[in-house]
Amino acid sequence: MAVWDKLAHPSDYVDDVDYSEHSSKKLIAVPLGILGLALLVLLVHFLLTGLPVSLGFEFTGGVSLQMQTDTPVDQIEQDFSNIEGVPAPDSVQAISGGAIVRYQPLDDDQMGELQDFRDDEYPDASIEMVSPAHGLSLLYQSIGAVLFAFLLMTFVVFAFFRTFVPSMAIVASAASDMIVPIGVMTLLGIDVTLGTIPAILLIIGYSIDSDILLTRNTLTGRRKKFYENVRNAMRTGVTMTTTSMAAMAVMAVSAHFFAIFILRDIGIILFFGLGMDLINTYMMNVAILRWHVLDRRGLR
Amino acid sequence: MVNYARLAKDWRIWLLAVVLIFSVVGLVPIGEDPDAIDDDRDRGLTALTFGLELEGGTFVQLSPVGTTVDATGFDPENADEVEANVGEFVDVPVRVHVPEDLRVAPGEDPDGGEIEFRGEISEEDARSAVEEAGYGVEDSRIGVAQETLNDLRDSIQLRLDEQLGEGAGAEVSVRSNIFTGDDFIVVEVPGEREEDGRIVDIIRTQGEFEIRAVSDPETDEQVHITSGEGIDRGSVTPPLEDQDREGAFRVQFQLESQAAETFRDTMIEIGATDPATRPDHPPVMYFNNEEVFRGELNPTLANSIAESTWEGGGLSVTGLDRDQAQLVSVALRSGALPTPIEISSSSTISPRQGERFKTFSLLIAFLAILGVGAAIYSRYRDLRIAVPTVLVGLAEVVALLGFSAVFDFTVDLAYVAGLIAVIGTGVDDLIIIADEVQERGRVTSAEVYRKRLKRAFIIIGMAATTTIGAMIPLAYLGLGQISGFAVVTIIGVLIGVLVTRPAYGSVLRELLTEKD
Repeated sequence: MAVWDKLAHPSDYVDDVDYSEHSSKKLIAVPLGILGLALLVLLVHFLLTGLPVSLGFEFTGGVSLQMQTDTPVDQIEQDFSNIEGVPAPDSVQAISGGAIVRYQPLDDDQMGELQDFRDDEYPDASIEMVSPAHGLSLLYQSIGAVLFAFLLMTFVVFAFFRTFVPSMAIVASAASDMIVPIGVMTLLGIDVTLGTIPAILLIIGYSIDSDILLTRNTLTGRRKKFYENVRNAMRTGVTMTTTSMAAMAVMAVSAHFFAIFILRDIGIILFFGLGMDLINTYMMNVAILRWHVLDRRGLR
Repeated sequence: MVNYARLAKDWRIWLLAVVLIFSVVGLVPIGEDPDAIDDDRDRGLTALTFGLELEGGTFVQLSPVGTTVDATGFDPENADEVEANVGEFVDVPVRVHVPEDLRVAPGEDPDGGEIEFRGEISEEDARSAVEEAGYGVEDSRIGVAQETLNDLRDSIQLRLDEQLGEGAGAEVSVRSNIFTGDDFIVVEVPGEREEDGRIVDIIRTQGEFEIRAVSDPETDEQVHITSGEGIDRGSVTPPLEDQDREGAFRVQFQLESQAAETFRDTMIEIGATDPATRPDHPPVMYFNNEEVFRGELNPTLANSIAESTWEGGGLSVTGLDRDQAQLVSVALRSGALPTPIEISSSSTISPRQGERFKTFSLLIAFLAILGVGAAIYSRYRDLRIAVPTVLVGLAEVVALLGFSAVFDFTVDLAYVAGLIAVIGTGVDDLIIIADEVQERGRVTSAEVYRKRLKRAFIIIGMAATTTIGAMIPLAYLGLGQISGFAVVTIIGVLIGVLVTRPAYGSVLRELLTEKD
């Protein structure tokens, strides 16, 4: 217990933060700067490849095999490069305890040959195929789903608070929380896959909690107690967000070693999304709320 | 000071207890109909239904290739004529359908219907073919008529059952994407067998059809009349309901001239046209060497064959129920699919891979809960808060799993993602409750506690409404995995807000209130 008790929890530092010393400009500059960097990453990727992110095979079309095996990767690569009637694989990637083999879209005959080869030589491998047309349709639907969910979130938030500036701040923060982790993924070279879409949607659910807590506390509390209200909301909010981040970090790391990539990707996206949410909520949103509650009434 | 007596009277605690008991009972795999489960499939430790991703199996999604034009300017009764007229302008088979909602009340003149092009053709070409044939075009879309989709589903189901055996549990269903309006067909085959790699091939491969006739009723000896080659496949109708007899269906088709000749000669030779021996010499239809239909010649037909007035080779199989008629219709086409198909996606997960995913994803979820527990303890340094928080988090998981077992949700990786989402937002809400009631100074009375709890629940309610609001449309979209994820998240959030979080509030009250 002794070690535990000496470790400070992130929320213990909340009391050290004195917002009255920081200008709104400075508070807003940091989250906007990070968002700008993320957008820059996406822009550079777009200029290099023609797409802002690298898409997984579910969206581009293609074939992917994943196997857990003791066979060395070199051997696997050789095996899959010499199947009669099937072109050489696009990539062979080692993962913990196995490999992932990827192909460009194959026609029906090639796919049949590959299936036969899998049945004979690697019956434990999972094999997935998506046609390019279907992939494109999935991509459009996924983008539509994210936009749709985002619009509905915006609607509900505006319906609750009925004031433009604080509602807008929540929505802007959620948007930034969704964009930054995509930038991080692109930087880490992780593809955006179908499994990433629920994660991006989850950011809406997670990031909204602490934003609503902060906004409600400062809007309904007494104006004179603005900083105290922020501090109370922050102590709770920081605990919430860091707890979720801890869970996501555990999930991302363990899923990576168990080679369940959909869960790993969800963990990574949420970890960075929540991290960005801390920055957005307690820098950008606090500055905006301070302007809304105090500055424009000349109270500060 | 914990007042157990008051806790025991609290409806919130009772509600949680009842939900948990139901969940646990729901999770135990008893009370299921043992016949409903295949013998070779493991019933498992729980009543949960796992998706192919976690159970292992093959999943294929495919779409029919075709274009449909809503056309006017013809009487649906003259479908054959319309099909021939439009068919002159295109290279693909053409079919006319009259969907239910286009059928008009008696007295009114029926006008038009859906003209379906079975094959690769652009909407533009399809529309201009209809116009050139002299009919009006109202609308057009990529895709085929509902009837054709059902036919496609039945044909594929038949092929898989033939090749894999009905015990394989292959399921073929027609689904629709509400988002895009596209119809597609989903094939799911659980488990593993050596031909897994061949499932797509099986879907694409035709079967063998044969017509024979009984020549010797004593030994049931039969003579061959024709194979599938002798049937004009384009002429085979879907099941048609008799106008005067409800529930009685027939299928009409046309024999090629050579086969028609053989049919006529054989019928006369074996005595099937003689009223006295007719019932003993019925024609028999086989599909992949299995009998699908046997029935004596209709007296009128027998007569016209005997008197040499039968011509053309048009035949009708009558007196069938809908399922038999469907089977005969599919078999007559040698199981040929009504339209070409396009495989959109397919995946085969080996059961061992699935087992690994199942074990490890549950382990990951468990590790995540432990991580949450550690984070909570390091914040409050108070077991009175950390222990109930982790326990309530676990209770939410059990309740959600129980609910899923009772309502037969499919547990796949998207489900696990939703489960993690629920644990995460759930713990967030518990932290809001704990902080609201505790951080604002000591809780000196039940009244103070109640006020603070109410504040907490307003914020929780807002956050929950926002999450559910964003997820509801996704639950309705035919996006497969994402829909499953959204449904689980919504139900999890509801269970949390309505059941577990109120109970948590009551437990904390007893643990934290200093005076009564």
